[in-house]
Amino acid sequence: MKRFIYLFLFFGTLLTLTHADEDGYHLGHGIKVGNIPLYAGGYFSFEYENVNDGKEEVKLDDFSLMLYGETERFDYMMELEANDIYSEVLRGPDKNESVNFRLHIERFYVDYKQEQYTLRAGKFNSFIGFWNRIPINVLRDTTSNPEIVQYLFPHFTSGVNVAYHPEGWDESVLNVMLQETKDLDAYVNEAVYNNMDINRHYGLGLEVTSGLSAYRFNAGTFRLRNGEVRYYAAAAFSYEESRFTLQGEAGIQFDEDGLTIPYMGYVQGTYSIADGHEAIARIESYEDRVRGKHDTFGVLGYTWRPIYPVALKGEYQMHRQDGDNRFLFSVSMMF
Amino acid sequence: MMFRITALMLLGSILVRAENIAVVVGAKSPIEHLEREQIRAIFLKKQRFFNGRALKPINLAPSSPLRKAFEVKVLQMSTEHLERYWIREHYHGHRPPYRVESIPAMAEFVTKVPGAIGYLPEDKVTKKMKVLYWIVL
Repeated sequence: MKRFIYLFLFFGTLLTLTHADEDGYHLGHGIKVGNIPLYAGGYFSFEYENVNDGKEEVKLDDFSLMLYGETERFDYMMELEANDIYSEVLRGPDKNESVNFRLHIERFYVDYKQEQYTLRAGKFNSFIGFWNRIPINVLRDTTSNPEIVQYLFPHFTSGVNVAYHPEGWDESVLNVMLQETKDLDAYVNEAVYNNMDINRHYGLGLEVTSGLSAYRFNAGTFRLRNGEVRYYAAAAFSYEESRFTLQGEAGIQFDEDGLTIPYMGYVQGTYSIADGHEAIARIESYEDRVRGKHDTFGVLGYTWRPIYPVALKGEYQMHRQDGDNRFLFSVSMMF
Repeated sequence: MMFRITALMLLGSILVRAENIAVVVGAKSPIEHLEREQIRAIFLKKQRFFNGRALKPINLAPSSPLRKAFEVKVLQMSTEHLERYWIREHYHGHRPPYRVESIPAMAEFVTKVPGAIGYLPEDKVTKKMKVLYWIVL
């Protein structure tokens, strides 16, 4: 617990220092490195979780450093992340304390841009749905991620993506993802981190925007490294007004023997009560035959952002089984 | 939110003395006209090319009343909404438009740098520029 407090104080101090409005730097926007098109930034989050009938845990969940840049035709991004740097299970059968400084390749890619095409090569967030595109704690709506983001499709793709922007289709994009290798991080680390352990992913995606509404349609197949091949299809929508956002994603997953996930999805509403204060309500439902789990549960959350790149979030999850109910709290920051 | 946008528009109108704003490029640019939605996409860096040529949107400093009026009228986004947008883009590895500190610097940049696109008060438009869109205040 002492280590957790020290780490919290260290990052709290970092937050204070980086918030100092020095010339040319604004918290959450990164900083320019030298006189080349290169920028540095990152994010971190502390989490506390208290499960009704189980563990109580505190952890420094993410610490990530990003280096990226843009030129006329090329964009590039490298992101290294340490996950669960410090975690302590305060209560429950697995009561322990652990420290982990292993770095993982979270994203590593180069974009080549033309007027109607963008070719991306490397490891990147799969172009699927809405949540998976901005999955980090400080930018997402709640501390927890919906189940669909974790179990229906590969979080990341290591390969190429071709994005086609049809002429005259305002902000619409067709994505084709191709992966025929193991996760890029698996080349430098034994355990696959923050992703399904796959060595193939072929995916198609369509993004359509119309006024205040946006839609995403995805379908694809992936192969786990144990040889299992699965298929997925997903649809997502978002409706955004100045104070209110309604968002939902749903999908299925199957293999040659039948459905592995007959249904999985969520609907979420967020309402801005005042500047920096947001209330969130989400309903999730799923049946996962691989894990042998099914549940329908609600999430009520509240987020306070004293400034946008700093988020203090609390949420309570109400599950079908009382023992699974949990409270989560997090402090996260982007710099 | 609506009150803030209205207040910003009023403030912008007063501070730029109700002059119209011209969205401009250099006189040699192949672009003749743009719709508001296209300008919005260019300044949010969702559209980066026009007829195969790279575009370079230019902004004034955040405190500039001209920029505030441009953001409200063309981008139709509040300062908070834009802040949120660019922090999210930071995660995606994208930067906001290049910034210049004054209207003369904006005029010079637009006339000298191929692909540059900016905005100026009506009385600062010269023959070295082409007006693509008028923002009527």
